[in-house]
Order: sequence, then C-alpha cells, then structure tokens
Amino acid sequence: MKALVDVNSFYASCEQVFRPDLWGRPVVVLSNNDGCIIAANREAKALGVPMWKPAFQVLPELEKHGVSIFSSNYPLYGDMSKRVMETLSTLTPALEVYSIDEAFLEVPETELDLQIYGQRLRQRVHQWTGLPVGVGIAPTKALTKVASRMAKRERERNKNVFVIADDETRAACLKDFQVEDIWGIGKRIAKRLHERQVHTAWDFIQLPDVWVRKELTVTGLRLKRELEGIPQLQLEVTPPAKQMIGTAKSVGKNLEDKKLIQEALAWYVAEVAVKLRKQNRIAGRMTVFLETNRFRPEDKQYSNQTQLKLPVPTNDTPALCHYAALGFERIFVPGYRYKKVGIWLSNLVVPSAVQQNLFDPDPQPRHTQLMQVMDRINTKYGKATLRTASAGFRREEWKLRQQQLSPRYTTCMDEIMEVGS
Amino acid sequence: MINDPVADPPLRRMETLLPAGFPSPADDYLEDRIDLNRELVQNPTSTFLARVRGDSMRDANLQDGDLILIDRSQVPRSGSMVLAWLDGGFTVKHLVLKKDRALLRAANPAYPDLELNEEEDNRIWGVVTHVIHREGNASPGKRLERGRPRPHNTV
Repeated sequence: MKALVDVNSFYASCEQVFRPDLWGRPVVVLSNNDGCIIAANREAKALGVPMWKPAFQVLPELEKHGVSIFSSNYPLYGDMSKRVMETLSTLTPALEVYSIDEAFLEVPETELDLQIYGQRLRQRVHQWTGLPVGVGIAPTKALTKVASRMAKRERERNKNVFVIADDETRAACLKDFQVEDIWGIGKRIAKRLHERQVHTAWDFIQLPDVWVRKELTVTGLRLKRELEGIPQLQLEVTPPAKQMIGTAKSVGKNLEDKKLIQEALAWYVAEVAVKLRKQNRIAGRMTVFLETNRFRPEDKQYSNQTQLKLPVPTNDTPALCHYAALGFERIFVPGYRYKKVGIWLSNLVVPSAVQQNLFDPDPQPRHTQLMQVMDRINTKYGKATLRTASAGFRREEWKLRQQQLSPRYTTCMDEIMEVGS
Repeated sequence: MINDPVADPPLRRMETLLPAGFPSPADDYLEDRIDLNRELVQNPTSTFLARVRGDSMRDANLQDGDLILIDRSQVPRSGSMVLAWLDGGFTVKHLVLKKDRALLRAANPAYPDLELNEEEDNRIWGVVTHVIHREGNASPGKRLERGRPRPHNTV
C-alpha cells in the first residue's frame, strides 16, 4: 500500500505556525514581487478570494475582510518542507518527495489498520512541525491521489485521512471523481473524454485498453491500470537529476533603463550559477528572456527569448554572465517598460563528463577555484557579497517588492521568534 | 536549521595542517570535536529557536535576551518549561498540571498564575529544552572569523 501526504494550504500554513493569532483565520500568500495571489487557505477561499489575480486589484477588498496577506517567504517554506519530509521519513521505509508540500510513502507492511496509520502520520507531522496534513492511502499512486482528494472533500467526517483498500470503496470513489481531476489527465484530454461521454474516473476505466493505448499512449494505459488498483508506478526515492534550472523573476519596477535591466540579469545569473554549482552540474545551453508587464494593458507589450549553445558547458559565473549579456543584446529593444528578465539553463551534465573544446580551451582550472572561493565568501558573509561588476550596485532600484514579508524564523538568526516571559 | 554542513564542515583533519617533520602521535586517535548541535538538539526536525523578552522566569535562570531551544516533539509534563500562546502572545512559563486544570506559572513572585483553559489547552507550542545565556561581558556568540590556521597552534 502507498500513501500520499500533502500539507493543507502549505504556504499559508507555514505562516500560521509562527502566528497563532492567525489560526483559523483567512491567510493569502503573494507571488514573487507581490504580483498576484498564489496561495490561500481554506478560510480565505471561503471568502471567495480569487487566485492568480493581480494583487493590486484585490488587496483593498481583502484587507477589508480581515485577510492576512504575506509576501512569499521561500526560505521559510523550504525549511518547513524539509522538516515535514524528515518527520514523515521516521514513519516509512521509503519516501518520494513529490513536490514542496507532497510526498508519496510506502506503508510499512506491519501496519494493520491503515486509518490509524494515516492518523499517526497526521499527528506526528502536526506535533513536530505545526503543519496540518491530509493523507490518502491506496494500492497505487494514482489511487492515493484520488484518496487524498476524498480526505479533503469531507474533511470533518474523514478526519483528513481516506483509505481505498477494497474494490467497493474504489468503485464508489471513482464513480464520484471527475475525469479532469485524475492525476496526469490534462484539460485537453479531459475535453476529448467528455465528448466520448467519459465523465468520471469510473467511466475512464471502462474504456477498452486498445482505445486508451491508441489515444493516450502507454502512459494513459498505465494510468488506467493504476486506477484499476494494479500498481504500475514505483516510488522514485532518489529524485531524478534536474534537467533544467533557472529563474524567471520579475524586477520590482517597470524598467526602461537598459543598464539597470542588465544589472538585474547579471544578479539573477549569479544566483542560478550558485544553484548549478551546488548540484555539481555544468550547463551546455542557455535561454535568455525578457518581458514587459502583462498586467498593464495600457503599456506597449513586448516579450522575446533567445537560445545560446555554450561553446564549452560551464558553471562559471563570469562566463554565464558573458553569454547572458550576448543573448540579452539579441532580444533587447529600447522603448518598452520591462518587468521580467531571466535565464534558463539546460543540457545539464556533471563536470567530468565533458570533452574539452579544442578551439575554445576551457579556462576552468583557475575559475573553478575562483568560484569555490566566491561561494565560500558568499555563504559566510551573505548572498552576493562578492559578485561580478556587471551585477552593479543599484539593486535597490530594481529589486523585488516584498512588503509583507514574514521573518525567516528558522533559517536566519536575526529573524527568529521573539517570545515573552 | 542550526547545522549547515555545507556552509561549514565541523571537522577538519588535523593531519593536513601539519608541517613536514614529525608525524603527530595523536593522528591515530583523532576524534570529532564536540558538537553542541548534537548535544543540545535531540530532534533537529522539531526544534526551533526563539529569543526571550521579559523577566517572569527570572528565578528559573531565564533572563531577558536569552535564547531558548524549543522541541515540539516532547510531551509537556507538569513542571516542564513551555512556550505557550495566551491572550494574543507567546509566553514562556512552567506548566503546572492539577487534577482538573492546567496553570502557567512564572518563576518570579511578581507574576500571578495564569489559567490555561480547555480551549487553549492545545496552545502549548512546544517544550523548552535549553536556555542559552550569554554571560555579561563575553563577546557575542557568533562564530569567530577563522583565518588560515597557524601550524604551531594546531598540534
């Protein structure tokens, strides 16, 4: 048996752990740069908070209703996520971290009462981290997704844990489950299925294998088996190496000044380069992109991106900045107010796997050392203490707006909780 | 939270610091230096740090400005020092469990007992496991800059 554990309204719940005054109250979290609402807890959703709407359009209304608003505090969410995963791993032999707030677990064979096991998971995560989780238990991963939905649907009655262990329960759940909610079924496929009068997950598994295989490939067939209760997908205990890494960040203001955008870009490139080195990878390909503010229809709009193949794969900050600047020159057009700039790196490989290019010999040996020194200094004295000159000194003029930022309670000594006595 | 092995490896092999010459007779007996994280934090996953303001726990060796370690995984018992949420604020007190009720008791005669009623009884946030107090004129607890080690200091 497998279990899917997910944290209820993860970002909002992380904020609430350290703010008992907000327990049971509506909370929303804004995206980077406070652009739009990306998370809302149950209480906020009950008020009809619209997700993904530009924040400035709805904030006054929210404040009137007493909704607490937070900028996204990723250092906090990242650490709390780790704590949840660590807690879960004390109760299972195998764990797959599926996303920042979800994990698949192998249920130990010694667990006889699955409901009680689910409650134990919930209880321990809540006790250790303060976060509320829901649990879906079933024989296959796809069915745990269904069970997890059920656990939420009748939260009070199911006590946030739902078990699909026998065929009757499975059938009842699938008949009550919309086809577009099935794990891995996208909008487009769901529409086609509806046209064929396939409305529920139960309808879906009545389809002939041949048809599913032909229309939805082997992946669709695997999904059908999973919903039939026959395991097809194993837990991925060691995460697959990342294929891409990057940042798509907004700048805090709508920028026209080319030099300033370039500085922001160099800053972001340096951040990505650090991530790359931490994962011991070098990149062979880079995408640079640039975008105006979509939420300001009154402005002239422009967006573009360009790809560069790097002569020698690298994770060297100056080299990556150099190529990013080349790409930027290709796509920058003056006269627009830009809002978003960033890069993606792909073709990631381990450094030893790379052949040197005869015509562009690698300056790495010395640069590798330089980067090590730079990373060490920046770990010790703070991010970007040492940086390339291209990143400049005017961060205040472009940095992200994060006006509602909560303290980094668990990762920064100067921001830990203050308590009375 | 507290231990970041990437940023700062706790252990450096002394032998790499030795000048050419005589091998150290201690080389075969090297042990890890005592690690306060390991000594003080039984369960890092459930342990949080906070700074204390106020003097209500003065007589329990908890002073204004001290750091406390809070372990959420420990079960509060009568007599435990706990971090509780009461009347809109976090407060550190001793938990006193009576037959029919629970009290929060200060360690300072100037403060009366506080009733922890039914509704608030799940509002104990965690158990305080350690108090870290910086002594009067000692320099701040932050780690000192570690320069290049000088060989004559290391053996």
